[in-house]
Amino acid sequence: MSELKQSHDTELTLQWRITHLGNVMGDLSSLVAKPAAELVGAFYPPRLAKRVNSVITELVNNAVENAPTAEASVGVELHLDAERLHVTVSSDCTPEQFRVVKEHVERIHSASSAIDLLRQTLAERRRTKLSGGIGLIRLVAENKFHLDISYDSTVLAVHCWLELGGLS
Amino acid sequence: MKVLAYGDILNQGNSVFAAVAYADGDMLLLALRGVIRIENPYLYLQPFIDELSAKLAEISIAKVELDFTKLRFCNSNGFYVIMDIVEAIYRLSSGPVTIRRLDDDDWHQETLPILVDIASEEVSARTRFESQLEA
Repeated sequence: MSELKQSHDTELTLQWRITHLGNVMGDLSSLVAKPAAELVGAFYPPRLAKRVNSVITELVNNAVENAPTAEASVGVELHLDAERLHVTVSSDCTPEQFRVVKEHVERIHSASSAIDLLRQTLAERRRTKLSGGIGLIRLVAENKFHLDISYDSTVLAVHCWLELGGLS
Repeated sequence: MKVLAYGDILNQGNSVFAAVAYADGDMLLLALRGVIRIENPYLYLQPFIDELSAKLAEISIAKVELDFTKLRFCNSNGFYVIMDIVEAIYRLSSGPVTIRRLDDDDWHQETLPILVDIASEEVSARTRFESQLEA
């Protein structure tokens, strides 16, 4: 068991919901991720706090950059206890956008090596000057998150979780 | 030491990231500090990449040190900027490259080697990583 399990009886549950993303005047991912990471870092080791920073930053960035309307909303839920970190980011999403995300997630799940997929995807997208498409792979390859998605015809939920005993 | 190039990212008037390249004789030192969080970091850092490339083309660099230990966060939009900076330095210098990074940080340990293109034999042969704990 890693150091992340040392006397961590503290449970944290955080929840935000923000509507009308078109009104945002700052870096929303930072405004949400930094306090969450700092709070986690007050009870758990820095490496876990950094992973909270990464996952909220990437998922909220995706939600903001792909918001289908100015009125679109984003929800962030974090639960952490001694066994598990679970983060869900929900956002408005069209069926067409969901199809793209679904294909992307299936590609991640079918990859034999997430690190190799990150390397290949970076090379491809850099060559073709495409932006985006790296955040979810990064969370799996770099931060070792498990990843899943769900969709209810208007809202996409991206679930990322980490078993704390699996951290090294 | 002479400053070859400087670039930074501003957020609401405050510098949140800075890249500084120094030359000391035939040695190049690149230090990156702060966080890259914005959607398009090229808006701020393309001039730095251009200036650094132009300066390196004019001088001879035989030894390089890349210091990432003060880079606290880099979002995925920043990956290509890091790749461009590093690629320019490897292309326009010769000799060994020491990369200083953090020991207890996923990005430094897992992603940075990919951005440096450590899988390339040419890069790998020139590169040595030095890991340290975060201060």
